[in-house]
Amino acid sequence: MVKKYDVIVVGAGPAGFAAARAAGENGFNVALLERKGDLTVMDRACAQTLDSPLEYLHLDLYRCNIRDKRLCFPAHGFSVKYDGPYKNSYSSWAYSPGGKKIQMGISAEQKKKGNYGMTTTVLDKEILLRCMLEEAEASSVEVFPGVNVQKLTTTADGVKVEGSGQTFEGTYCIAADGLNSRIAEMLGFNKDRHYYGNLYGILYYVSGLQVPDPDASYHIFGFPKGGPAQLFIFLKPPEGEHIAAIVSMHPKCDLQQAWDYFTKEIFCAAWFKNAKKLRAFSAICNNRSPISNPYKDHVLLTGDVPATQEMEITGAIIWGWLAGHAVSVALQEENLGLEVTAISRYLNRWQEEHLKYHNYDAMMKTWAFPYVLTSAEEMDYLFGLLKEPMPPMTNPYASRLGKYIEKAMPVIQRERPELLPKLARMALPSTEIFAEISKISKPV
Amino acid sequence: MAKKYDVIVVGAGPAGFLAAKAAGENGLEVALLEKKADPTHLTRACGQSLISANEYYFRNLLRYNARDKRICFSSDGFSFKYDGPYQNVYSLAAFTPNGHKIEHGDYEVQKRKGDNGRVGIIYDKEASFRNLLEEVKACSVNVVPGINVQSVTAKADRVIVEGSGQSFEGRYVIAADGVNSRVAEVMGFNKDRYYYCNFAALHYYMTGLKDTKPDEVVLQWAYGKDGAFRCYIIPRPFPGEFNFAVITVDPRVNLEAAANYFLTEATVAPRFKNAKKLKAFSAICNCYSPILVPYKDRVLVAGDVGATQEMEITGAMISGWRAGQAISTAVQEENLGLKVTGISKYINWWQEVYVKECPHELYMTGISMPYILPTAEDINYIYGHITKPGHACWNPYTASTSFRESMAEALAITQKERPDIYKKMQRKSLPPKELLAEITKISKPVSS
Repeated sequence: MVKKYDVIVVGAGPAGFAAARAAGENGFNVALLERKGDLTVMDRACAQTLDSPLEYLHLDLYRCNIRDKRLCFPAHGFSVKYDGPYKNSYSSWAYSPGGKKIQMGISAEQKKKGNYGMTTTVLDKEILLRCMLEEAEASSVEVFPGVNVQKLTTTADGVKVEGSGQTFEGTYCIAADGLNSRIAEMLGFNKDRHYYGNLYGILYYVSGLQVPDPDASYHIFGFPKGGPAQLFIFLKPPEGEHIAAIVSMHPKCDLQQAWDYFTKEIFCAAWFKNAKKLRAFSAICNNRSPISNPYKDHVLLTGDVPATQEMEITGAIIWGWLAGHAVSVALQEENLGLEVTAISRYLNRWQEEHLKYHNYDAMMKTWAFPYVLTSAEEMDYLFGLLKEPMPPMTNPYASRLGKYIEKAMPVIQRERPELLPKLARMALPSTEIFAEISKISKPV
Repeated sequence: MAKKYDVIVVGAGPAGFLAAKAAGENGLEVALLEKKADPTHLTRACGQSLISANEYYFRNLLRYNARDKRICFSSDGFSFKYDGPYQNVYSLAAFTPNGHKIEHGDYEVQKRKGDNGRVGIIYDKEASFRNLLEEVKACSVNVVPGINVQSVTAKADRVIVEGSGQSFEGRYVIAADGVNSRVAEVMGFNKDRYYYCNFAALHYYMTGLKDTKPDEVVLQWAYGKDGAFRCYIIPRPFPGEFNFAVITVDPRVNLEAAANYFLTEATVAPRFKNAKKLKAFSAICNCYSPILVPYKDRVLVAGDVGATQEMEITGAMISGWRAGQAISTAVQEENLGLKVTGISKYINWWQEVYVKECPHELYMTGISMPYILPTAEDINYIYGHITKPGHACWNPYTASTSFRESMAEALAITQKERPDIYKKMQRKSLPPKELLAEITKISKPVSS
């Protein structure tokens, strides 16, 4: 006989773990299904950054409680155990392909603010997953690794989830199987979404990198053969290691060639002279407009599943935790014979607190630059105009870079008027900016 | 030099512990000051009931996770360890002075539903304090027992708290020192509150009761020569033990004599024939109108401090946890140089979820019953016409609607047969201020 659970959580990433733990702590029987054989091993590219250290994001100001080894979300009122290391960056530098720099934040000044000055914090996600696994198991969550969910059917009183030869029955299912969610696809949630394209990424842990400012993170635009790509560099723990990731939205961009372009051809090649690759990862993520009503027939979607590009680790934990509690309250309402209100409250919250405050079209625009200024020379010119360091900007949904470009407009008008119509395209919706990319891309 | 804390929590009751835990988990430097030398020791009378287990209270559905031993507030999304004993309660049985029984909830029906039928959970507060003490220590809260806070001085960017010869400095203070809060008094929070009366209680832990269910709460009203009072028989989470409580708001009533009346003369008296007293507790609580703005000069009010009589343990826990979270957010906002919004969000919550959704007048009207129906005969007559159980609930704010239907019937009969009592009952719609006016005149607030 199949054991019946109160909640089946699909996907043991930050969102799934948070959801499973919340429902488990509330005393419900929870099964957590994960495709991977080892839940604490990371097998996809992830920058492992915590966002956003200086500004509200996902309506919270996360806080690292290093003393008690907890990662905290004070505005939501919960924390998760994390006993691993952190590594902070105190400014972020963006470069054009020719090496012109836009600097956001000054490391020396931000560093003076200690734990309240970092512009990027990177943790060790494998340790985070291990801690979250411990916490889920402490609240009696039953964890099933190696289950690749292939089928989900609605039953009279809940859901049936099947995969890898196993069957699970539950009253509710929380789908936390990520950006390329099979559950969202199977249940038809993707039908009404706008498809922007994909993000293709390769990511390396590297040592021996020599960067201009050891406390900064880097974001370098490039035009390798095939299509534009970007190189991201973050400090990561342990000391002396970096994350170096190549990301492109262009399906024709060869990421290995792009790696060679950034590390052997352009100005930053010098940084990689003594670099050693320690570990390699890759990922492809669908980018779609968000799901505005992420619930159907006892299945609640959370974390990256209903999101456009990603919720970041912090957003995934918060929304997973909210989903776990929402389902708990719904179950309790059912137990007590009360009207079920918790799911609709979660959906309202998603619409009011997430979709309203996190403009996905604006977030997609963080990838738009190379589709507006389409040559290295044009980008070098613009970046060359923005010499003054800007304040730190850590919220991807509310970039203030446009304000600074606007200030440079009179100079551009005088010197390079032909760039103005190109820059004006930045005001278009992302759907239009990426129209060509959407055409030649295919969801995974 | 005194150590500087992010927040000083005054009072280690349910609200203070939860506030300290929330702030500590968020990495704040927290001091938790408690008057008692042993914070896990219970010295005042308390029903130790987690009320309203079957309906929303403070926008939460209380849940006890017996598997992992956690008390859970799923709507707000927090839970904490409780590994002590517990006892489900399935109904409340109230007896008129002449012994007519009216029930909130059909005991048999509720009991058949098991955990889903319980209206409340009785726990062991001392066991809970032991668990909470462990939990606050695990997140580095500095627990300082034996501190009787006497003065609170707010400066521009910090607060000095002094008591028992020691001084503490914090960026914020959370006042969780209970219904007779000294912090509220010295900070002037009580100036604009309306004072109704005191709520005086005498409790005995007892054993050897007869004909008393271990999973039902019993209440009886009584009218003595000096004033009205009532008793509760509340189960204890230990086999055969009960918490017998006598309560009055009339300062003329001698509680020991009142207790004696129930134990020897009232219709509940036969239950006590072979009963033994194990331990006695007492308490006097001020009843003020609620604090409307629970924040002033870096001092945030949590739990019973700002409440009329009490928020009940569950309300105090939710309020305390929210206060700790509010201060954590405010401190983080300040650290990052952002606009501080954490405090105002708490104030909004307090006003919406406590002041508005738990109207204190409703609570006080419940307490005012003997001043609406001033004789035993009145209450015997009118409640005597209630024959069906009201819906199952243990919530002072919804209790009065529980009997709406049966009450309408009883009132119709009363109007026809006893217009004099009907007229008295009409006074129920008066503000409790008026109903309790005589009691207010002869009462005086106590200080802790």
